Amino acid sequence: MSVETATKSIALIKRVLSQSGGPTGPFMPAGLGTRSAPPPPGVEPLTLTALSGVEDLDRDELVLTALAGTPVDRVAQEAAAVGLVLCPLIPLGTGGTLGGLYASGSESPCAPVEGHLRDAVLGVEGLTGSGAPIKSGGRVVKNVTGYDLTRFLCGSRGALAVITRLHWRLRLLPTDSIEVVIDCPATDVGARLRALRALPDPTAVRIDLNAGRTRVRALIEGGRPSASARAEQLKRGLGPGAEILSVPDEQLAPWLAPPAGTREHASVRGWIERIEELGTQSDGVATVFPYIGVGTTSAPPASAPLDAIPFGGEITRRVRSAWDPEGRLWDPHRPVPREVLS
Amino acid sequence: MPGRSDAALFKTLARILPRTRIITDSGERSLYDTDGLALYRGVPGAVLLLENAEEVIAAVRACHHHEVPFVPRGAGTGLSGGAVPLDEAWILDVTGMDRIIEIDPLESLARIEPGVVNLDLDRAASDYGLRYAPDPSSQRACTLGGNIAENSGGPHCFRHGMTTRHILALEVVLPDGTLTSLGSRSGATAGPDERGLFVGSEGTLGIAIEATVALIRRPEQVRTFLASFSSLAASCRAVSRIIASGARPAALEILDRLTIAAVEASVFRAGYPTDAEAVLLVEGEGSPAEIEEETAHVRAACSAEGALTFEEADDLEARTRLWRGRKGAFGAMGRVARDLYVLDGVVPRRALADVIEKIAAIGKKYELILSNVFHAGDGNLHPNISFDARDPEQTTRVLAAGAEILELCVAAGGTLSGEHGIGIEKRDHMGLVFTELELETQTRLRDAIDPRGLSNPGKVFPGGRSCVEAGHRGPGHAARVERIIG
Repeated sequence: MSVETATKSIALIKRVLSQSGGPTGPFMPAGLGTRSAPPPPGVEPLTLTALSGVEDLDRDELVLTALAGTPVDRVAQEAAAVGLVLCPLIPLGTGGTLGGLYASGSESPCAPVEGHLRDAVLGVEGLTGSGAPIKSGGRVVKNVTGYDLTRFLCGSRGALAVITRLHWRLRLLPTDSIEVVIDCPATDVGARLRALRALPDPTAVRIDLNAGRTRVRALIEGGRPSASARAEQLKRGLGPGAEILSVPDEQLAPWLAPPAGTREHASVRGWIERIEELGTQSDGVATVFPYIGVGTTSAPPASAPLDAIPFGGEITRRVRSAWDPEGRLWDPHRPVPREVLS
Repeated sequence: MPGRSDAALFKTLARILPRTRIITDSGERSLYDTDGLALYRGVPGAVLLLENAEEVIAAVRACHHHEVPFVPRGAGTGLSGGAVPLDEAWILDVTGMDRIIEIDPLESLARIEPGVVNLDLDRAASDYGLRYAPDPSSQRACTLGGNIAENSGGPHCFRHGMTTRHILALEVVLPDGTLTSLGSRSGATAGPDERGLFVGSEGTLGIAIEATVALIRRPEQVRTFLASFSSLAASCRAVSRIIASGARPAALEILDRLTIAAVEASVFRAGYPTDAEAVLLVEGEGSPAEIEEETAHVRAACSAEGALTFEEADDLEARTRLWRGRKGAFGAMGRVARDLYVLDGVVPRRALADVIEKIAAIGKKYELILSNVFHAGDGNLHPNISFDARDPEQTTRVLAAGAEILELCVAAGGTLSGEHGIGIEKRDHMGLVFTELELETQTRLRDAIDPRGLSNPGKVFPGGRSCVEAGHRGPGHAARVERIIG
């Protein structure tokens, strides 16, 4: 059962969460379904796509305010129309809602330079499972007033709160995107990454492995003269064989997005070892963003995959109990009831 | 439960800690009665000097068992009364936990204990071509544990972000003694960002006993610019122009006329033009090509706003001189009056000039000496009120003016604090930002983590315990604060 008709206003969402009788939940807040699996049996979707609209886009302050059900692509288009882009650079064109992007805690390959997605969200409004209002942060870039629920709820997947409104940081569209690439054997990846660490920071680093060969790719953004100069520096630092390629606008999203595969988490050092190991396998395929610790491989994971990591810890458990004692929002840890399975 | 028992707690801890690290003497305890804010004090029931994680865990568990409130404390340089013990809470001093456990250049991170001084980490990282970016004015003294508790900022946070952006993972003792790990070495989180919630929670959710922090590459080149203006409004408009141009300076700081005069008359003299109404200090960093781009943007913006003078500095000596005035500004204000109340409000950048004008009017209304040093790029104001805390009537006017300034910031679309935290100072102003129900959601969260309300009680939220004295706290305090921020 979907309660989409009830989600056109925040007041109605509150009523759904607070009232006894009617749909009882537990509810899973849902957007366009691009970033999460469908609700498990026994959990009702609380579809928020009707709660949509960019309420304010301030080019001077570089901040926008939008309702959670606003499609990300629409937000991106409106920002691009005034020469701005959402922070940090994330693979766009993949659909979904702004609330979904936030609640999924999507990672940005540019995190080491630009910050994580959670660092780009300036404020959040929403409701707890019992319908109590949540407000944190706002439209200014520095804000330590009260608990940082803005960061806490990023990645909370609708299990702690229904997100209704977000204040998001913007930046100017980059004038130039180029990459420096070098092809090398998988066993040389460690040396290349160590060399990169001593060079001007690229916006993002990606490693593509295919059949024992690897390509180390460093993305650079900025004004044209300085981006080119940094690229030249990186090219020299990476050694013979490195080359500079342009990244056309339409190629930026695929550059930032790993293809499908087994998702793995590892440190930079861990990824160096893993690439070396996969490189010995004739069918070894991997796309790795080593600086943010994630990648996808064609092989079974060497370590625990992301999905096996528990959802939050002791703090999350306690907050969930306090904010949602009746369990009106879905619980990623709760086993599906037997009667539903049968 | 037996209820609060300080005597039983002492007995328990005496079995764990050497007697010399349990301070009970009233004179020594009174040294911990305040922090960097010159307005509030409260004497702790006792002070525990803790030197390792096991001791912190044992102390917190004992406090929890005996229902004795406690206040985690680093160097005590905070500016919102966050480390002031209320209701004779016990101080858990972690300045003895000052080990840098690991620096990993490949992963660009360090593992540290909470008592490590901010600047010490930065210096240690420099051996590897790395640095720790957040640089609060007190960075020579403040500890990273305190920075984590307050989500501290600093001039270079304009480009590099606040403390929270640089904390990858934490080992934390919750107020009931439960140990928990937050975040990860890559900074990624699985599910809610518990790490992000803990940073900036002002000691109300427990104590960090270890942190993994991100280090960033030291810039290849740095250039510092100083522009002077005939009006504060022009300097603020120049900041907006710089940002709109696409430049990404590391810092954008403004000092007003009164501050310039105080700095130039002090040991922090930096050569700022004393006939200017404001100076704008900008720092660019990056590759030589990036620096040239930034220079063109900054020069054009300052010129468009009619800068009176424009200076560029590349070499370390000249840059250090330009920064000396900014970094010594709070210390220099000691020449104006014996006490200084450093406020911390945030407004949208476009409102800066208007709000500063109104702040000046508030100063006049209350007949106070008011100056401004601020992080203009972030819209983070630091109106400074010079006063004599020995005069209760004057102190009352200072507090009233401070409250009005905070109201002004919120009304302009801003907020109560950009980097100092709420502490005691602003807890009763939280209603300006949040409704009662919104605050209740936050206090429910706090109560879920700390049902007995033992960890730094009376802070952040209105209606907290109020056993605190406002005003002058006797001789010695001014000297101590001067050491910290000077």
